[in-house]
Amino acid sequence: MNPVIGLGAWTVKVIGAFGRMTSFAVQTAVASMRPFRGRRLVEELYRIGVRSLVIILLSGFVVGGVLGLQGYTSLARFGAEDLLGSGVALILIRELGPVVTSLLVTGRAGSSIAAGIASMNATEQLDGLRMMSVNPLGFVVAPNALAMILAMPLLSALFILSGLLGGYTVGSQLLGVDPGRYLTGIETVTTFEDDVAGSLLKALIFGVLVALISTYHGYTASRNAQGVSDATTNTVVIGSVTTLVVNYFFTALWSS
Amino acid sequence: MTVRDRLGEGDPTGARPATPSGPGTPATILDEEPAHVDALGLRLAYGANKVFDGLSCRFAQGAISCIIGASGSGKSTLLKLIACLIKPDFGDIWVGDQEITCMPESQAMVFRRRIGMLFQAGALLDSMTVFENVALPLREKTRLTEKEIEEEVHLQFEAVGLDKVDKLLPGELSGGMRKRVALARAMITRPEILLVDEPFSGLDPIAVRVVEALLLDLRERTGVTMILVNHDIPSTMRIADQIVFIVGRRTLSGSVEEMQQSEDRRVRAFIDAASPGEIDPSVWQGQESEL
Amino acid sequence: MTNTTIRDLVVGLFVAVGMVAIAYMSFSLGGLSYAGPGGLQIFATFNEIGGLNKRAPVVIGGVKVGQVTRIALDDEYYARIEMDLDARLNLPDDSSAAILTRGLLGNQFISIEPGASEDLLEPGAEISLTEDAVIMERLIGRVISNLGGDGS
Ligand SMILES: Nc1ncnc2c1ncn2[C@@H]1O[C@H](COP(=O)(O)OP(=O)(O)O)[C@@H](O)[C@H]1O
Ligand SMILES: [Mg+2]
Repeated sequence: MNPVIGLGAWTVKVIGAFGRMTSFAVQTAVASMRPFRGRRLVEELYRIGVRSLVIILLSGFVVGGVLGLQGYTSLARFGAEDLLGSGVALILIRELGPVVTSLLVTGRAGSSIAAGIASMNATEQLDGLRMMSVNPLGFVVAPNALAMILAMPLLSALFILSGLLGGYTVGSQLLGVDPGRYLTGIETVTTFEDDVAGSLLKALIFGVLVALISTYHGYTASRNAQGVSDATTNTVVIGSVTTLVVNYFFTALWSS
Repeated sequence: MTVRDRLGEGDPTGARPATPSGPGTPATILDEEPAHVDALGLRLAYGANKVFDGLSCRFAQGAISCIIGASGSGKSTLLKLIACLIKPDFGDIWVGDQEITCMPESQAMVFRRRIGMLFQAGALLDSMTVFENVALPLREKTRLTEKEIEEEVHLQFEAVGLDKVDKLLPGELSGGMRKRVALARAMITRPEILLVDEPFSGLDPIAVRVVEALLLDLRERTGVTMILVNHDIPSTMRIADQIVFIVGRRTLSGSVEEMQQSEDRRVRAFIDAASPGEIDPSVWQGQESEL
Repeated sequence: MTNTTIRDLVVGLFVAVGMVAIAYMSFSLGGLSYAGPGGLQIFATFNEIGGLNKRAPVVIGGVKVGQVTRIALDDEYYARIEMDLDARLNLPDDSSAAILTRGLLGNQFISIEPGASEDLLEPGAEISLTEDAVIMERLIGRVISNLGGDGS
């Protein structure tokens, strides 16, 4: 095909997908309010938030440990081990916390949301709901999306604290950095306006994006096993890439 | 007087040939009977795949109508059209005195309260217990108390012959039990029309008879109009008041007797295929171009 | 207890712990408000503050008593620091402030040396005796040039 035509067709396709996603998001937002389904939200918070907790805490701890190890070896050359806390804290809070959490949650919970909704569609459970005059957007999609949006900042904060603990364990317990100075290092260098607010906002934005990507792919999957597996794959790939790209632009804009 | 009796009386010759029906002219004896569901000139295509091209059919009030046809001929699609889950590209569907193809989704939500649907695999919500599944329509659409809901659900369980299943998850049920639970859920809001997609697929012969008896009993008690998709020819012969045969993109319909005596070779082939003996597969070839 | 109640509890716990984590990050680490008693605003002016940060600790004899809340340039291009100290402190008005570094390249902080005057520092007062941050590079540069001077 002529590359110019190809590019044009691709552009039309992408814009169309954006339009459909936006309209899907708006419809879901409307359906989430009438009625608001607190019970369903709790169920999905369990599936999405609680079930992701262990992997988040474990990964956070290990990532923090590696930062402690690498940071220590670099800083010790200049006799600046006291900066270890500051370094670990800044990297975790500003970048790795939200980003790695989003990548992990996309793989763990986003895929499960997509597969769950796609297979409910394939097995006519969504049509079954419509037959009971229940809007599947309100009953299935909205609670999943809301739970994802709520869980992401919470999980990201827990990842960061677990990471700081990992850095502390390696830096202070194994390598001998003074524990008080590690903590002071963290406290001195982090500020709410520059670091923490940005970190939480990032996690929230990732939550919204992953929620939208996973529910949209699940809801629009074709009604067979192939559709379910495509929805899962697309969610993980698109969700992860979106996280990384949006993170770059957010960081660039936030610090300017 | 049952519909079957009326059909018998309304057909003095008993040998009226079932001819392919054109748009708007459903050639059936049911013309004089009050139709509960009336589909006119339906056209529906998925991309290049034209599923219906001017299909018309009517389903009588209070009758058990069976839709038969080859796999992929659009039987499930027809049920979904009647339930307003999908919309045709062209054509009208009248349910009672309401035309449903032009409804916005918000109105369709209200309309669907008149209709119960039993999906092929049950469509029970996997993450909820059997009790929660059946109670859901009441929780959503009525203001009954928890106690009233419980009574109503157990009444429905009793009607479909289920006991002590409240706490089970749908995944823990056998195929026959799933169908019964789904039937209980479909009937709990007392719909005026019940749509049933392949109720007998995947059931052993005894379970088939049990579900048949349930459906007949249900019609007896509630007078609900039933539209069944049913591959099983012997079972269709046992319970149907009316048969709607989808061939090509059109329908042939009539009473069981009419169908049995039909000289249309596609109908014959379908009926003969259900009995022991050789069949001639060539009758099915080229049916698309013929119609 | 039914499964549902247990699950509700677990979800409640998860949300609570997550909120605490966010609060800890915002307030304690991020210093959204200073964790510890404050209320005594004191100023100090320096020629050179080096790498002193907002929220750097203020200590007396090594004990943390407050933090730096603002760093700005005054009209004459001196660095003017605002500190928030524990209001229970009764500091003499001839106390002095110095910017010190923990270790060779560690974090910088302000150390206050209490004076001997009878009069106390009032809220909003200024510490007049200050000692600038030592800039390691300049110090090293001076040492090297001194050595070079000796050699020639
Ligand atoms: N959502 C859909 N997208 C594309 N094609 C579909 C869809 N649903 C049904 N079809 C097509 O419509 C035809 C009729 O399907 P269906 O009603 O399920 O047949 P039946 O129930 O008679 O076996 C089939 O050819 C099927 O491929
Ligand atoms: Mg079917």
